[in-house]
Amino acid sequence: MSEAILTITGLTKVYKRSHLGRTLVSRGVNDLNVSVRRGEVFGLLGLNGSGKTTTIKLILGLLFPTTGDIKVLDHSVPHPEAQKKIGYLPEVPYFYRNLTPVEVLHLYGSLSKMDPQFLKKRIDEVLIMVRMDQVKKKPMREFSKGMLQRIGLAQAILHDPDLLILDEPVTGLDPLGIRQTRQLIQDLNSRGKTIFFSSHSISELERLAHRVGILVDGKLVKLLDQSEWKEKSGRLEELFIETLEASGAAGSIR
Amino acid sequence: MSSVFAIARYTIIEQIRNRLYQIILFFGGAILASSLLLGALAPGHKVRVIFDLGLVMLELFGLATAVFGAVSLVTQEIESKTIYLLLTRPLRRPAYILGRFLGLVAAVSITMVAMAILHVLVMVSDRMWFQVFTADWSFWTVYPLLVFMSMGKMLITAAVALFFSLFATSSVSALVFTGFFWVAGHFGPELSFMINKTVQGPLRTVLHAAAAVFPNFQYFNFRDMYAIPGFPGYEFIGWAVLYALAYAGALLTVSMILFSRKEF
Repeated sequence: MSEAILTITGLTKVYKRSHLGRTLVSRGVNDLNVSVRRGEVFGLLGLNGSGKTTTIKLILGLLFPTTGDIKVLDHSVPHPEAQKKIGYLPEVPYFYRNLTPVEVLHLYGSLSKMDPQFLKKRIDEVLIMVRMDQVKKKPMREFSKGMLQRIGLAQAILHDPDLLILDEPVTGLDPLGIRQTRQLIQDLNSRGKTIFFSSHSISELERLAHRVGILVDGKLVKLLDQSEWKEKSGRLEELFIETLEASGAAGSIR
Repeated sequence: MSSVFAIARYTIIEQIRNRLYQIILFFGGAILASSLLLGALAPGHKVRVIFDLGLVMLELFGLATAVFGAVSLVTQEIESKTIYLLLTRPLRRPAYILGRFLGLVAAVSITMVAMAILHVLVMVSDRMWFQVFTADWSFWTVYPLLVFMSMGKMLITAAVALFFSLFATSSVSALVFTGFFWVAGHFGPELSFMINKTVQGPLRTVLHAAAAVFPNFQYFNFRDMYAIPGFPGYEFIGWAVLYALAYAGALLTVSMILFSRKEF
């Protein structure tokens, strides 16, 4: 079995919000334990509010855990060494409207401590990979959502990270954009990159993921292996619904 | 430090290309140029009107650059979640604050220097600089010092604008709070007067707290002071520089501590 690149142990995130003198407590993630192996594509599946984005934000250090620990290659996050190994694509990437793709990538590359000479070459490379080299000097306020998504992917892979975290990478894309993103994920994975992604799109998870974790109310209730769904198209959806019914969460989608 | 400079560099570029910034610069220039007309409306005081109006404009448009720059960049960056892509890099959060601050101060300085050059050109075109200055101070000594002192104010204003842009819940509230601090900062002498006139009690404590929290822009009021005989010019400037650095430094430190704990 290959080494774990991402290890989440006993992760809990409790939100406390004060409203009119009352404190409202809710759990975004509840005692989550999961280990992602180097080189695999791991999908996180769940309904809205199930804790997918919270989990991703905790891994990235945008939220701090209430209890538990997250390790990326033996570094507890947030840690600069761990962050160097991670590439992140948010659900809807926004960029600085008046900067060009080359400038934005130069900024992110500089922050990732990339060598300035190598960075120049790498920017051209990734812009070709995401098919945005023709518009590399245009201000990004002129870009469509699909184009921004591609720049988002470019910045995520710019520093050649070992672990890619993608939050709903195909949401809002047209069919061609979905196909290109899927191909890019497969290509990156074939080059040894580990992909951790959340999605509502069961068909994408079915095609891409080696393993899928199902989150219900912040808890990982099922961990499925590719062998459990690859025999039959649509099987992952059946398994997802069965899991929701078994955990009593299906009521909300009826 | 390379991360700080990368953030600062792109703060300046983004700011200079921002339409709002270009409009601010255009209006500032237009008002300065039209001060010749306003001067003509005040016969006998033309030089004073053009000189004072120019300096006020310099400060006001510097303020506009600092406030709108901080809000349009930082608050919107947080609201639109663009900041996620920065903070998920190996970037320490204090470096982000410092980079944004330095970029903001640089953008404000560019605005003020550009407007100062235009202001000087307006005055030189009519050879009116001869008429404004005292025997002790020449125009070419005082004018750069006046701009420099205004920049001290802007250093503090940029730190205040950045603080509220980071922690206010919306762009509007960041604008309002910064504007409030700016106005309150000009009432330093009045605040001191009220403290002296108030007997011991909760009100005096509140006034002392206000005096400690709000900046005191009176320290930068070189414009009204230099003509006073015996005025300790360079000593005054030295203390003002120290005050600006200390106030901005303290506020940036608080911003860094709070921002390090902020969740997104």
